[in-house]
Amino acid sequence: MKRKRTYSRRLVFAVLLVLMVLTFLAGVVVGPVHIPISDALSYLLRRGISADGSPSVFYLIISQIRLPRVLLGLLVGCALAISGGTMQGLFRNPLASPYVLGIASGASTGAALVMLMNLHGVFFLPLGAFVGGALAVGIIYRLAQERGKKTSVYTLILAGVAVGALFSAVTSFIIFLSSGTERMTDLIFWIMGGLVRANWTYVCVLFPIVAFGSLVLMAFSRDLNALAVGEEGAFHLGINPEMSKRVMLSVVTLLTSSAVAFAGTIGFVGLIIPHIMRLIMGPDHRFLLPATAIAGAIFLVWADMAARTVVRPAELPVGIITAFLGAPFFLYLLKAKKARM
Amino acid sequence: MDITIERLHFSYNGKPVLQKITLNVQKGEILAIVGPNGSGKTTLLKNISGVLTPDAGVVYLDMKRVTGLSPRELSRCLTAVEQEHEVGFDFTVREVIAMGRIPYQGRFAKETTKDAQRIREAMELAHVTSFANRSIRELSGGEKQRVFLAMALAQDPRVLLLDEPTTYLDINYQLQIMKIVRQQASAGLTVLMALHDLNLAAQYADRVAILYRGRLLAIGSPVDVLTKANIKQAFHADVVVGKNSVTNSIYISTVPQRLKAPTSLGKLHIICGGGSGAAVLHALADRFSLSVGVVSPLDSDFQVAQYLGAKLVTEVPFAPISTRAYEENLAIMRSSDGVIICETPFGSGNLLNLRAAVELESKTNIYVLNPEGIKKRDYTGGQATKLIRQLVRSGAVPVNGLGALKRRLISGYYNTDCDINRQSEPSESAPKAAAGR
Repeated sequence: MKRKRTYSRRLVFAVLLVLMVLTFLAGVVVGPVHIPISDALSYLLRRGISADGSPSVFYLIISQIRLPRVLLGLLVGCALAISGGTMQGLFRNPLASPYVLGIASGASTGAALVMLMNLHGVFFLPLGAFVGGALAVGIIYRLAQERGKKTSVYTLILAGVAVGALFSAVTSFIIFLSSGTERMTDLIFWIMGGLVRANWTYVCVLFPIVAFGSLVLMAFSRDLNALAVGEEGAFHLGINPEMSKRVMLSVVTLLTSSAVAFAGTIGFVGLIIPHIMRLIMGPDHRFLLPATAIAGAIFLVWADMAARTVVRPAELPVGIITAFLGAPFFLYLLKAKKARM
Repeated sequence: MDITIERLHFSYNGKPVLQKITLNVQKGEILAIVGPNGSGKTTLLKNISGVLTPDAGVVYLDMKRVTGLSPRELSRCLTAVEQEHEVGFDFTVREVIAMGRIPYQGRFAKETTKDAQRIREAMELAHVTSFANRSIRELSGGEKQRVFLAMALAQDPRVLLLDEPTTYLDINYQLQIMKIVRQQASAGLTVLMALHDLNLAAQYADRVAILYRGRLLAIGSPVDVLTKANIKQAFHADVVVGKNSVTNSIYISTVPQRLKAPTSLGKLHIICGGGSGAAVLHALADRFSLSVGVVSPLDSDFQVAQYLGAKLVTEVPFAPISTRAYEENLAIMRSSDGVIICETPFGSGNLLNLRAAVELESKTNIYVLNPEGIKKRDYTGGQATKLIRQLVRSGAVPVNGLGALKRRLISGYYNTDCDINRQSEPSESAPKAAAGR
């Protein structure tokens, strides 16, 4: 039986790019206040100067609320999805995601601590998250490296669950400490994951991180392919598996932590999106990772649009939406035995 | 590219696995490493390929130390095919083989025309072109093995290490893989392979090394190294080392440890020769005390009988059976519980063996295997045929096939009615007392 790869890679990328443009526009148009597409386009193109020369309400909504939110959604979705694709490749296991190894839990704890201490300055949040995430990965990696023996993926994942639970407990404790203050509500909503607090500063901080991280991961996609034939096999292909793994794990930690810092814990994007893209275009990471990045960005913006509109005028945390969509789909994949991919 | 290993030591968890290994393999040579399980073959290969670092000693590729090369530099001259292959995702066969070009590609590079050509050549060499688009995970063990060999060939190595390359392969592909390796070696590839099949090593390797408990027991040409004594020492196995007269290479054959019945069921004398007795002897040796005669030492039945420990009555090759041998043979037949006449071609040289059977005058049970076929193997102008008919008329039991013979003999002994062929063979309806009753 020949493996079906119905769509050429070029076509997939073309479709993804078109979808991303459409998604971007939709993200600007959809929301509690309906903005006609023609107005949206003209404001975007003419920088929102209305006939009388003053910024209109629409313009303010677009430039101050919708645009940063859509852009943050694209960046966070991209970061989570490409991290997931990389983790699955590293562990040669389609069940891996940025959240195994407790990265997200560690990052949450770090970010929550920063919020608790009321540290101001936009860099503190991702920094705290990164320190927390790196701590979690570091602990697990040290555990795994014991006595030079190879550690099975299952040991790693189990250790990840345990360390994740530990960090979650710390986060809960931080929330408990902040009880009675306004910060507690902030923290709880932040943990549930959402793009509510999107602003231009977040976008400006996150953009270089995501751009840099994604580029590095794509540069290592060749190594990921080689690692698919095992670490020794990769070594015979001229790859230094230990070095590659460390670089990729560090970058994944950076991307995931930054996403968590600005958007809280948004689950399932990093698990589902790489999975679907692998079904569509095969496992070659040189094409899979960029496609996954774009698809993740698209998916998160749509999830956020749903979060904004389902219980209008209130908003749902987007993490609820992704879990609602992602979990059943994932179970379906498991059932369909396509999880073997 | 030459491989030189000097006084290599390697230990794992404080336990020495390899000790004082010194050997070299020259450009274009095939060295096979054989040895029992756990003797350190795979570990040795991994020390050479750079996956493991020796505790002491050096591995050189030409003049360069393996440990001094970066993985990428190393991957451009040496590659290894491991024993087990577990591929992480649903890559196609071609995608896997294309990975063999990674050592020559930059991080964002695309496949060049040269890459594509090398991949195509490697696929053709390993006979995997026909399933190039299938998923690697759907393949059988043998197909996978060939795919990974193709990947290694696409890598353009100058040194190839193979760890049990024939493990999952049926005999046809074992030979094909060996042929490919041989061809590549002739073109200058240096090959070092761990093999468990001593015969493949004998046939395809220029030199063989026996590894035993982490040390080199012997290294040299297959004839010098694969001796009965060396194999006994390394594998604790009894073998027969012979020379295949067709391929002119040596072969090793195991000697099965026969399960001797606690007591013999009786004495049987076998009249055979020209190879007609081998199957009968093997079938009966574990239950009965056997004797064979008269045969010459050049007869293959002689060798089988000797190997199975049967009593032998012999005659000088190419000479007619002497009176002495005839009498000796007759004496043994008289003291036997049964005589079996195999499907032997009879000529003037061995006709006396039939006469001896006639001489017995049905005092001993005689079994004649497939008497109807005698005409085709009668080279005495009808005398042998006459004698066989005479025997059957006077009570010898005709038996069709070895299975029937064995059932008859054994059921006769136990006096049970387990001879399922009894009704379908009416000629046996009035058997005399079988052996040993």
